Amino acid sequence: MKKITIKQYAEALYQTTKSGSAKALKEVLQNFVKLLVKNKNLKLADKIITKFNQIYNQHEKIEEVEIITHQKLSGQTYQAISKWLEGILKKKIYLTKIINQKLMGGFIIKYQDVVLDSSMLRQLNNLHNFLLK
Amino acid sequence: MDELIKTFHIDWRLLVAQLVNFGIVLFVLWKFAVKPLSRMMNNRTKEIEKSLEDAKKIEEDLVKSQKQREGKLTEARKEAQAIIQKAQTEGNKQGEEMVDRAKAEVTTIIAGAKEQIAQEKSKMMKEVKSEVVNLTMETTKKVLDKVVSKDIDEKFIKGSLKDKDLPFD
Repeated sequence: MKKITIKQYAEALYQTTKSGSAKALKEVLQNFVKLLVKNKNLKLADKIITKFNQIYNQHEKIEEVEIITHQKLSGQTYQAISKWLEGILKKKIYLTKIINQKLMGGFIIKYQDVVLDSSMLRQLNNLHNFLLK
Repeated sequence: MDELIKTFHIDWRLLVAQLVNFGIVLFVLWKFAVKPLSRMMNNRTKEIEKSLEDAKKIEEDLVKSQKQREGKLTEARKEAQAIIQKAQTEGNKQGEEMVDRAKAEVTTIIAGAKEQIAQEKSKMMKEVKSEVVNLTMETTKKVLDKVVSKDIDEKFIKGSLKDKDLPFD
């Protein structure tokens, strides 16, 4: 029997879950786990879920974005950031909020391999480097 | 003749005996005195002549060696003079070279010292500048830490969203 890859598992899971109800989804997941056990591939579950998330985001046009700020911002500000990112990326934005007090202000946005640093710390460092030239 | 013999009372026998005696004496004298003396004189003469020749030869050799010595002395003087002149020339040349080398070394040392001073000055300026900038940054961070409230931070963020030149890494 030909070996099933992680990508194939993830793609199959997405195709079977995308249009089902919550009840049907539960059943599909149970069957999927049984299949993994039967094929002795249960140890690949974490990687399959990660890949499934990627495929799901790709198909549903969702971008998972990390936003790092000096302090917790108001919902309105997070919303403004999401809207701004949606305008740029033309995708739905899922924000993961992280607090880092070293930033002093502003934000850092990370998605895929892109880093957008608009923190006060970064601007101070830029000023520092400029003054030392 | 007879008269003459009578007049002089010549006795032929005595005369012959005297002649024989004379002959014997003459022979003895010739054999043992004149001949050795003559030989000795000849030898002596030869020795003297040889001595004179030797003396002449020695004198000639002396003159010749004197000339040779003078010639050699003259040549040695010339060589010595040439050596002295060469030594003086080389000495002068070496002296000039030493002076030139010393000048070059002094120039190099001065240039090196100037460069070192300039580098140290530049380094010091950089250190001072760095200290000032670091101090300014630290002060600014402390001030910002106290001054930046949530409202200011959110206004700053919303302002950043309008900036089209946000820095992407």
